[in-house]
Amino acid sequence: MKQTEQTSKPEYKSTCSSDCKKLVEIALNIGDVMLKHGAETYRVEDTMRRILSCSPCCQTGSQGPAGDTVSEAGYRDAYVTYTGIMVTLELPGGETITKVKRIENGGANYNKLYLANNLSRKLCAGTISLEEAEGEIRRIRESRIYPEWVVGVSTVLIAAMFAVLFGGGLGDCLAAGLNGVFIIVARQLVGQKGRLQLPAFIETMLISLGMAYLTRLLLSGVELAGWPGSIDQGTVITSSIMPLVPGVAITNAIRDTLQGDYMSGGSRAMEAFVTAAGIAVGIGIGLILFRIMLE
Amino acid sequence: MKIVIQTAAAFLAITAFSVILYTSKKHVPFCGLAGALGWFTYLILEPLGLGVVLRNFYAALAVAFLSHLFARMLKAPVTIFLATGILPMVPGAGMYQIAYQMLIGDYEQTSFYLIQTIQIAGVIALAVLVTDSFFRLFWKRNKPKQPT
Repeated sequence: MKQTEQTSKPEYKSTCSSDCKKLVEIALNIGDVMLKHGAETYRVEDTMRRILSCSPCCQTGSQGPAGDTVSEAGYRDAYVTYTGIMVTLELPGGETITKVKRIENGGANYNKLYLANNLSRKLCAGTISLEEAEGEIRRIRESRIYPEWVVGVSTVLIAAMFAVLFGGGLGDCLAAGLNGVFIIVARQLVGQKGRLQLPAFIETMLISLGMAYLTRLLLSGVELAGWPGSIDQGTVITSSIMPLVPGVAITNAIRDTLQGDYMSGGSRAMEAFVTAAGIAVGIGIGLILFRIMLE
Repeated sequence: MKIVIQTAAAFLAITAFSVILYTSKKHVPFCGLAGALGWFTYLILEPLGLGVVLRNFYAALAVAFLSHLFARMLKAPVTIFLATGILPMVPGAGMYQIAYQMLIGDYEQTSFYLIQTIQIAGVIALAVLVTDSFFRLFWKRNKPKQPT
């Protein structure tokens, strides 16, 4: 009996440590997907901590295969900021795995966020193995939910519908929709996914600049042509900037700050402020340019 | 009639917005609902003579409350519904007015809109805080294993 215990113990330890390495990798990858695509920082931290704690082999006082209690479950923690993830896990042998990953913001993608969140639940409920989880993460990363044209149509719809929401008439709605089309075209040209790959601030500024200019141009054109309805400049511009407004950054900034995550809250508030400033400066310059052109 | 049209517009606008944030298909209508209810709250409070800031507060409160309910119903992160539903309250008009009034040199109006925008952002944060705390305190049934 003693013999079997002695032989099984090292074997158990070795599979455990390879499992733990996988676990850290999975926790890091799930955290990466969630943070990249619009999760709050504290949610990412919490999810990663849960994943690290839910493996049966690395847990405090868990039963080894030979019935022995694995003593000294290792120290584990996850530290997440808006731009990076650090995760550490102490193996039963005393060795420690620590990984650091720099996260680039990939733009909100709530489908990926939802799937990654779900995967962590499944992992902790034990309904999915580590190997399956690795494959699942790969699938989540590559998943595409809407084709480009649907996103384009939605952008136009946002601008047009917000014009109605803000109390505009048919004219405002159409003008804002036209601006929505301009946003799509401009994004293809100057956006980070487009040709010039300008920084986010300049992108937002240039798009809102063009939009404000276009709106003034349209309004003068309509006035000259004698359109019977009225188009309000304020309503049109306000609703056209809605697709650019940093809604995700604002919400997450609030929730992170309230959670006591001041560093991430501050970074996100900064992001929201920079985008808002880009929009305001762009509109200002656009209107000035039009006025100068008239004189 | 105005309320019906604007609420319908809010539903469509927020549904479209949830699509550009790549929200999963089964969540999209719920985002729209949250946004529509928020704007409906904002509109029905208008005749009561409440100020813009206070109306924004109640509207954000309604959106946050509904988002938490949806998140618990569908077992999805609450951000999905909150970030989209709260958009009609986000002071886009304030940003435009600040830029425009500064441009035409009316600094009195500029500071008015600046303060109002900051106030609106503040009450939205307050509404989110109140709802978060409420659900943390009183949602004991079916306690979620993970934050929603």
